[in-house]
Amino acid sequence: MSMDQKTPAADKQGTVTLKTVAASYTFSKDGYPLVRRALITFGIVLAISIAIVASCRFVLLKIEPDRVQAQALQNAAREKFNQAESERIEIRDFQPKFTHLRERGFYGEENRLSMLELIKSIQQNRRLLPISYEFSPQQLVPLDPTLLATSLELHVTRIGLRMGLLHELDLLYFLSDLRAKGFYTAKECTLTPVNTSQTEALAPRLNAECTLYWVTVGEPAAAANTLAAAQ
Amino acid sequence: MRKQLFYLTNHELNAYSWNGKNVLLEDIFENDENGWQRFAEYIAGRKNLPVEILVDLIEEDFQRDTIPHTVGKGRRALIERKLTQLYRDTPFRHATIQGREKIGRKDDRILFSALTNAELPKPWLNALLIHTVPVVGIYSLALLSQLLFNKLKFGTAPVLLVTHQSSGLRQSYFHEGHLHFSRLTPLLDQAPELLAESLISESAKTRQFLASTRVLARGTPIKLVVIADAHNLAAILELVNTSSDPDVSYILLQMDEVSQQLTLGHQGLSEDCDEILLSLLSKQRIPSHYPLREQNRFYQLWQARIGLYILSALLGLAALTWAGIDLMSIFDQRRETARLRQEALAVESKYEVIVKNMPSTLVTPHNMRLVVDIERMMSQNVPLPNILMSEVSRALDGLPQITIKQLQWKIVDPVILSAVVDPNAPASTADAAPQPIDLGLAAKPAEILLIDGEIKPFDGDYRAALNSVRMFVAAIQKNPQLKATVTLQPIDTNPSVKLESTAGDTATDLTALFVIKLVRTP
Repeated sequence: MSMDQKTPAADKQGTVTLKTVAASYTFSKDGYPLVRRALITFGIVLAISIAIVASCRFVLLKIEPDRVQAQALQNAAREKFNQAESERIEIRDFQPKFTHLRERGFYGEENRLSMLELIKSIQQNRRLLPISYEFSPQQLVPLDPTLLATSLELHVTRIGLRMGLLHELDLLYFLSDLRAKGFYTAKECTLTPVNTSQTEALAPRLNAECTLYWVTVGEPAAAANTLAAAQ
Repeated sequence: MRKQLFYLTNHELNAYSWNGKNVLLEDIFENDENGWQRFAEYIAGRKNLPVEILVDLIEEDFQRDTIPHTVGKGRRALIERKLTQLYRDTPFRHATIQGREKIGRKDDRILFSALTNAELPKPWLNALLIHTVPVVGIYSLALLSQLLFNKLKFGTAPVLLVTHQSSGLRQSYFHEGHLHFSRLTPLLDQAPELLAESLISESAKTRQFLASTRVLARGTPIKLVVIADAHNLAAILELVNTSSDPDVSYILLQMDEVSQQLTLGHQGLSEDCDEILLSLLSKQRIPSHYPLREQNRFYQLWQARIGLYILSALLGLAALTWAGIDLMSIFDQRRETARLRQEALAVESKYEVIVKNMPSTLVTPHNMRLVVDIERMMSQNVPLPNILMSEVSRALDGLPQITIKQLQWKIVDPVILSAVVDPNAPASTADAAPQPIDLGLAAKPAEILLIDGEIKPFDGDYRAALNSVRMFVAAIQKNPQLKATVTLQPIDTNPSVKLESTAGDTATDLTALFVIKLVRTP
């Protein structure tokens, strides 16, 4: 393409050429080649960018469950360890006392025979006047779960005592001895002087009537049976 | 940014390149067929660099006029109509808005200008169009001198700015800070003495023209500012010193000083002001003075191309940054996962050690603790009758006239204490299950001891009997934890109740009975 053809010296011809060039312009033929390389570059960069980012996202999403699982595993192990550690401390702190309570009959099934023997033993040791007693059927005391876990139950047996006393201290000694060997709470006691003309040295001067609650703690019957079967 | 600068005069086109700091003269093309052909070959190798064309032609016309003040499309239409009226034969026309009139309708003041010989730039533009060179704009040196004038801060007084260009002497007249008129005088010889003579004579002609067209009133003082190189200025100074025109004051500025003042950088060995104005143009982003029409299309495409490359770079950078952050997260997560697994194993082995050394128990440690806690709570909370009975024994010492008939001790819920004071109330319901408070669970119960007593011997002296009871109560209440209330006196002296007794009767069945309620609250 020579300048003679496209841009002749003559003004008129120059104008014609300019107009011709302008009029023959089409984007696909004249404009697109100018931006083609930039468009292709942009397309390639876009595709590579999407591929890189998508790959990284994919890997990230793929390893995320592993991390979550590892975290859960670690949490579970730590929880188990804390539980075991807590149990170890509880055993260290409470087992001696618990063993003592179990021996006293506070934990476990109510042993009435032992209780009868205990009353008899105290009566004999303290040389007390005869003691009559009455054991009511054992009752379950419903408690707030915050006080006692549902895995345990509190049972109470009401004991009515009647005894003659030479001195009011006899009653107090009896109650103290009873608590030292077994566990009970006193609900009420009534002391009444005996209005008698007996002159015998061992005639009672007072009558005592008391109501006691004999308390035992144990596992529910079903759980206890299962435990027994397992042992 | 690199670009090409073309300085177009009536005789030639000077091709410069801009490297971001300085303009460098690359080539000179005569305005003939040979020049156009060489120019076409020249730009064929540089068609990717954008072009700015600065025209400095004799055939450039300026007319200052006013139009009614309008805005937006209306103003544009008005200006276009006016331009068409003034310069029908050329597409290279421009309007510069120069403020408004101060009186009357306050019309807009417009400076209309145009390249009246439209055919002169066309061979050059044609070559640029054929080679699809991006043309940023076609700029008028006369209009650009407004920028130079503003930067040099000459104020509002009448100023005739004369610059020595390669095309000749460019004289631009400014008044009130606005360009009113400009003309180019070609120089046949660039020798300093001839240039000086031309300057003096041509500036006088210009002032004469301004006076005759009433742009500048006769006798008005005017500053004549000349920008040229040192040799030319020396020659001009000689003539100026011999000049006797009192209305003209000369200001002679060396090109180097102007370049420094405008921070345009080094201007090379040029003897004219072409490079100063080209530098000024290169450093600014100025809209094209004269319309580009078809040429603008390739500049837009060039902008699109550059934009796409920049976008691609930014996109790539963003993607790499994103990927980098994600990769760091991946490494972090893997490290974290490994750490968690290792920690879980360590904790697990510690757990195994604890479990292995843990003694076997009949019940779970938790239940063990509960049993111990509940026993402790009950032992601490539930009292035996020993304390209250001991207190009564202590109080009876020294009061042999008091005989106890019955002691009735019980524990009650402190909340319902008042409901239990009735001595005739049943002690307890035999078959009802005990309440937790009876067992000392959760709270301490209160203790009540009802003392059924008698004053013996009693000979009918109620005052002495009442006194004995009072002494007994006082003795009990020495312990501040106890609260004693006499619920039955030997004789009731309350005026509101019936009183019945026998005076002077010495019968032995006369008794003084009393009941005291003793309460010990937790």
